[in-house]
Amino acid sequence: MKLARLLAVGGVLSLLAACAPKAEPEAPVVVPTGPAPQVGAAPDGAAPAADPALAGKKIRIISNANSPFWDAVNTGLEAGAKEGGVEAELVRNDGTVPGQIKRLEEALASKDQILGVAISVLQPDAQGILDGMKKLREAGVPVVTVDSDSQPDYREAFVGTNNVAAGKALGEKAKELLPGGAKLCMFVGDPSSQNARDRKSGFEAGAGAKFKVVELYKDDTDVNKARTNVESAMVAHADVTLLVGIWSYNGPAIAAAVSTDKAQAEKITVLAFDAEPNLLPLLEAGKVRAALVQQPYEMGRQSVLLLKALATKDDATKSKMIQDGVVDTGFRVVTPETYAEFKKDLDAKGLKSS
Amino acid sequence: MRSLRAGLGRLAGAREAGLLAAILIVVGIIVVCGKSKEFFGATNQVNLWRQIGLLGMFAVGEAVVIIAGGIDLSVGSVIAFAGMVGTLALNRLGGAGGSGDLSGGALLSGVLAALGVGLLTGLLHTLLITRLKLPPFIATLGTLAGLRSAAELITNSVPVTCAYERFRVLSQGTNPLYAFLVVLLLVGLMMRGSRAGRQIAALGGNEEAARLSGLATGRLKGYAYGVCAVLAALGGVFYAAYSGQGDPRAGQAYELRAIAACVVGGCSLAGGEGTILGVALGVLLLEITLNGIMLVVSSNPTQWQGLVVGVVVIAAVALNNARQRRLGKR
Repeated sequence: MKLARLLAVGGVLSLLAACAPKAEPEAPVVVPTGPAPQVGAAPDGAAPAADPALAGKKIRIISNANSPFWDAVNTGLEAGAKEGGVEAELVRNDGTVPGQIKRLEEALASKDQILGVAISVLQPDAQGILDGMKKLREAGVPVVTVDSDSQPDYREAFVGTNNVAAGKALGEKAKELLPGGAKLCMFVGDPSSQNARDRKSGFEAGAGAKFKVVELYKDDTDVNKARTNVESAMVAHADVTLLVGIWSYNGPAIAAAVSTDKAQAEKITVLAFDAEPNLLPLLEAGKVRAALVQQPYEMGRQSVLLLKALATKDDATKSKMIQDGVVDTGFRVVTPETYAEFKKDLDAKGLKSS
Repeated sequence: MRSLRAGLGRLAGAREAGLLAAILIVVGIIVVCGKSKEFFGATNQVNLWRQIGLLGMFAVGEAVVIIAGGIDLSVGSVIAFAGMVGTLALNRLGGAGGSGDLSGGALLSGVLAALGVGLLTGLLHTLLITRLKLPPFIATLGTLAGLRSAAELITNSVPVTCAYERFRVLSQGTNPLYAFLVVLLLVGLMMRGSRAGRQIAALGGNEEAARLSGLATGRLKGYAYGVCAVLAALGGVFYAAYSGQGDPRAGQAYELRAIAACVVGGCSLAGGEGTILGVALGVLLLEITLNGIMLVVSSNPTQWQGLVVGVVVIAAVALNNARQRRLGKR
C-alpha cells in the first residue's frame, strides 16, 4: 500500500508539472498567398463603428471536426470580426453528421441572435444537414459553406479552397517529380466528403493518365489507423511508388510509416495536403516532397466578412467577394526547396502551422 | 501415456483450443487467397505483431475489469489523455521542440507522468464505483467524455509533436509486442498465481457471495480498475511513440476494440469468466483478421473491416455459448 501511495503522489506531481500552463501559447497560423481583400475595414484601416442593428447578434462558424486546422480558422474569424465590427464565434463539431445537424438546429433555435452561419459540411448529400441549412435560410439567416462545400442550392456561397484546382496543382507537382508516372495509394478520413472527392479528382486530372490510384484508404479520422493503413498499403501494393495524404494528419502518418523502412523511403514519394505542426520538419527534411497548403485563416476571416455583407444586404461587397458562387481563399504548393521562404512567412506572423 | 492423452483431451476441449483453431482457419483463408507471400513477409509480420502488441497491452487491462464483473468504457480517452500528458512532459523535459536528444531520465519521467494519469483515473473510477455507488458503465462513461475533452483542452486540440528518437523507438519494430508479453506475464501471474487474482474472479462470479465470504470487494475493484487504467495509459505512451505525437483524437472507440478482444477471447460480460491467455488469443484472432482483410480484399478493404470483425465477434461468442451449454449437459 505504501508503494501504491508513493506512486499516486508521484503521478499527481508528474501530472501537475506536465499540465502547467505554457509560457508562450502556441498561436495557430496562416500564410496568405496574395493580398487579401480588405472588404470590411474602414478607409483608414481602423475597425468600422459597430452597427446598432447588429448588436447582440453573432456570426457562427460550424466546423466539421476538431483539429489544429480550425485554430487557424478561428484566428481568421477573430480578425474578420474585428475588421467587420461584428461578433463571431467558432462552434467545433464532433466529426459526425448528427453533430452538425444538432448544431444547425441550435442555430435555428436562437436565430434572433444569429447574424449568419458558415458550415464546413461533412457530407454534401446528408439530407439532415441540407434540411438544417434550408430551414435557417427560410428563417432569414444567411448560410454559406466554408472549407468543404455542399450542394449549391442550399447555400449563398462557398468560402474556401477550390479543392479541384488544389488537387490539380498537387497532381501537376507529382507529374513534375515523377515524369514516368506511378501507381499510388491515397489516404483520407472520409472519402465521401466533398473536399476529399474534389482533391482526388483534381489530383487525377493534374497528374494525368500515367498515374493510377490503386487504392483509397479510409481511417475515420483515427490517427493511428491512418498510419496502420499506410503500413498495410506498402505490403498489399508493393509496386506503389507514390503515397498521397488527403487530410491534414495523413501526410505525417505516411511519412512516419515510410521512414521506418530505408528501402521504402528511397522508393516512395510522399505528397500531402495542409501543413500541421508535425508536418513541417518532415517537409523541411524532404520526407514529404510537397504539401498543398490552404489558407484557413482567410477562410475564417472572409466567412465573417461575407456573412456580414449578406446580413446587411451590402450587395457591393457581396459581388466583390463572390465569383461564380465561390470565395476562393487560395493555396500554395510548398516543397523542401521553398520551405525556408514558407517558414519565414510563418515566423513573421509568430505562427506554427497552416 | 494415459495422462498425456487426458492432457491432450483437456486442451482440445479448452476454449483456447477453439481460438487457436479459428486463428489457423483465418491464416488458411489468407493462404488460399494467394496472399501467403505478402502475409508471411518480414515487413507485414513486423507490422502485424506490432499491432498485436499495441492492442494487447490495454485489452488485457480491460479483461481484468470484465472478469471482476465490471466494464471500463474510458480506455480510448485514457489513451489520448495519457498520451498528451506524457508528450507534454517529454517536451518540457527534453526541449528542442520535441525532437533531437532525450535523456533516459527525461524519458522515464514522461512515461511515469502518463502512467500517473492512468493511476489517478483508476483511483477515480474506484471512488465513483465503491463510494458513490455509481454503476461502472456510468462512472467510466463520464471519464470517457471528460478525459477526451480534457485532452483537447490541454493544448486547444493541437497535437503535441514528440519526435525524440529515444521515445519513438518504443513503438519501432516489434517493441510493443515485447511490452505486451511483459504485461501478459505479469497480469497472467496476478490473475492465476495470486490470491488477489483469484478473488477478482470470485468477485466477478458473484459479488454478493464474495462480500458475504469476507472478501474486500472495494479493494479488489480498485486493483481491477487501477490495472486497466494504467495499462490504457501505457497504451497511450506506445501509441504516442507510434504516431510521433500526443493527439487528442487518438484512441477513439478503442474501448470497443478491447472489449471485442475480451469477448472473443472468452470473457463473459456478466463477469467471473475468462483467462488472460484467452484474451491474448482473442487479440491475435482480431488483428490477424484485420491484417488479412487488408491483403485479401482487393477494393475498399478498410470499409470491410468493421463488418468482418462484427461477424467474428458474434461467431466467437455464439460458439463459446454453445460450448458452455454442451459442458453444462455433461
